Amino acid sequence: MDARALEMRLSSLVKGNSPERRKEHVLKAKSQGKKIIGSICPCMPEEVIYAAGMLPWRITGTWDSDVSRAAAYLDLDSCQYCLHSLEALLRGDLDFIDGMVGSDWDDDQRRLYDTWKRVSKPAFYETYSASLNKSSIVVRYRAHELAELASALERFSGHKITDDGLRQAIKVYNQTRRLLQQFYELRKRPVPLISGPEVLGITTASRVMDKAEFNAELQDLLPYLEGRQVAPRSGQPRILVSSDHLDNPRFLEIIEGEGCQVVMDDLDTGSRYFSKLVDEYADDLYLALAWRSADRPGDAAMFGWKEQARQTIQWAKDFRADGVIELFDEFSAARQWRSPIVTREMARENMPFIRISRGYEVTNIEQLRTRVGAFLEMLLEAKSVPGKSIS
Amino acid sequence: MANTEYFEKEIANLKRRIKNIEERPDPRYMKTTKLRYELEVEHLIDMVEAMQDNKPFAEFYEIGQLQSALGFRHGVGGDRVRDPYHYKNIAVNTFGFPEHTCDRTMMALALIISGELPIPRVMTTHRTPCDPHRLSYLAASEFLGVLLFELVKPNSSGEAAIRCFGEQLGELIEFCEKSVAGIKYDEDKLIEILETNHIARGYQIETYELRKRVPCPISPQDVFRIALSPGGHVNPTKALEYCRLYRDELFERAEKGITGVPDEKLRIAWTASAPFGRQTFDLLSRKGVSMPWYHFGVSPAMYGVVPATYGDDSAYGRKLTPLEEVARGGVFANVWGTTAEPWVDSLIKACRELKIDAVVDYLMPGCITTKSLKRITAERLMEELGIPTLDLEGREFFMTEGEIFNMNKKLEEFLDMCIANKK
Repeated sequence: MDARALEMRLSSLVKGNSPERRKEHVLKAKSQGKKIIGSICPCMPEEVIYAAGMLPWRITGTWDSDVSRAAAYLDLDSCQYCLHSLEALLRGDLDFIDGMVGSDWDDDQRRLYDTWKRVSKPAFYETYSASLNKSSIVVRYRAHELAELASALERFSGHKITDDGLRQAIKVYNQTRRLLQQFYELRKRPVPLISGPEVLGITTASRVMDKAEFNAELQDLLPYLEGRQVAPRSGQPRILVSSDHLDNPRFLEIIEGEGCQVVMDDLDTGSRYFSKLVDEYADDLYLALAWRSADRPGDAAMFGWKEQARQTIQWAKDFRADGVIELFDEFSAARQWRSPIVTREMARENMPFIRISRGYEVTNIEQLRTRVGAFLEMLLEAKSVPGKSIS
Repeated sequence: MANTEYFEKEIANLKRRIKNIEERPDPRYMKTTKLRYELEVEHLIDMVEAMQDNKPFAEFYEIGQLQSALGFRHGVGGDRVRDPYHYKNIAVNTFGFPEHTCDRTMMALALIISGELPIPRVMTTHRTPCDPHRLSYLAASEFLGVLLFELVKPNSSGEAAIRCFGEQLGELIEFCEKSVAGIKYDEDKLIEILETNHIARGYQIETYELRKRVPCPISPQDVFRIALSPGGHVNPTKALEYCRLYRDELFERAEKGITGVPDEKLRIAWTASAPFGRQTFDLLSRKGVSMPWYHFGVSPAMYGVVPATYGDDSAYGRKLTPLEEVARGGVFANVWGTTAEPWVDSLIKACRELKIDAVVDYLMPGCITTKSLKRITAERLMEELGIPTLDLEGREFFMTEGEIFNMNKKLEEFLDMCIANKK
């Protein structure tokens, strides 16, 4: 296939989670008789849903600023992702979802699920624990919860989850993780072969597509990407972007538009999603899933803030990022509480760091541009003056 | 040298109140209040001595009985700061913690990081009652280097869940014994604490019956008073005696026809939290509004609205271990920080049993667990009981008199409307 055709396939995959395209895979799954299980939790146990013959589907909220319907239920000063997701539900944008799997991730998500249950009365709703606690007692209990969830999913889908079926699902998902890890390696190059917005487009597309189909597509594209011709962007600072529930690539377009390259991320919709594999050869697959869930990189809502900051810093170093931009939801309690600890760790490691608040929808663009621009200027100045630090 | 100034001030304040009661007893107020203050003074003096002797403190939220059974001292929260603006400034402007969050958690954190509360040697956290509470503990731990032990409360409440939590408490014991010199788990002491608290809870449940009476004989201030758990007190015998005398006095006052507010016109339930200070209570009294029910995390369990009975073998199909009983009475009994049903179902039950006419849903900044439930709460109260709800935005610590004035104005309008509709 020629480069132009591959570039078009890449572009199509990048747009997989755009408002115009994200339901394509839903329609395809429905035509195959599959049910759709939605979730907003970053650690949704997708393999179990997949093994039950259903499509796990990460919910994207509305990307415009009107949340008037959702504001009647949820506090306006609360997680904007939850607010916009509820808005999407109340507008009827998510009527195709057959069931929900939720967790105790945080208060915002719990209340979103409560509202969802009341308003939509979904045919299927189950929850699980989202903790990163590595106590063997807790992990064993989580495995027990996953097994119970699997039973409930079986009854709902009418499709038995066999050991082989679950093992196969884990293999498919591990393949997704490996492919995305390989894909991310392309960003380490002096001139990244793929832009920040393109990466986010692809990782979010993976969350709404059938995984086997996604794997096949990315597998085909990787050889092309290895030799992709991109315009050099010499001298531009390399940036790591950190956030939660960031699913609109436009944010990263704006950031890169100020003259930098987003070479890595610390996102639940990005690197944190595919880090760590499940032991697909384990005897107890539910236990293996539970261990992977406990061992994944942490989010601000979880225990271990210093470790999380150090993980971000290590990623920045691995990808030779010059600085870290945290785009935080102003009403994300976890990010707010965590910020003094992260700021302190960044300063300790002399990692240039800036925190910029954002809405869930792309808004206040000029403010964002101004602050990013100022940060990049400081980075460039620091690079031009040996020994100068801006952290 | 430990900074005991905060507690010294508290002790002085409580002693002034005790002196005031002795010199100018007011029959409107309960006699046992003096004993309550004396118990608080005893507890605080013990804390001051413990701080000066460098005894280990801990913060085990909702599993305080285990904390005591391990030999830790327990600090107090940020309920009584006199200059909230000063502490908020410390936490927000000096250290960079969030501004729009629960007052109580912010004040407690500020007190700890400014050194005015003893720094705990170990803290535990889990997902009840709410994120601000859990996150503030994480913040204190990470900022100050305090050992933190994360407990996971499973989403379900069945036998496997309580067994899982009980086992985690076993791990916590090992962790504490290994990490803090001189700490040793005493199971006999834990059982004694649980049994003492169980007796006290029996007294509380009896007083719930009084709340059903019309007019309600218990004043809003006393409904708001958090019941004492005597088992972990420095003087548990005296503390338990207080609980009994308090119950007796409530019944005595009811028999004498002493009402909670003069000329009761309306009965309300109040949720979550409240402004600290007298103005709102004075308003309720002036309007003839009694408040038989204050709904917060463990109040349904404390007063028997939801079952959480120590020693009840039927609930889980077997006798629980002492550690599982700790979980049953605290973490598993908390209706906050979980799904909507426990919170709303128990509120509706209490409102029905106590003949509540209206509900004030108190919504504080950062209190997502309550604020983002407001519509469901209000809808269900109207659908199932036909009673209205006021979404009242407020704080525990208001920064200006104007803010509390405006809040009370909204409250007054709602109360007037409810009273007029009731006639």
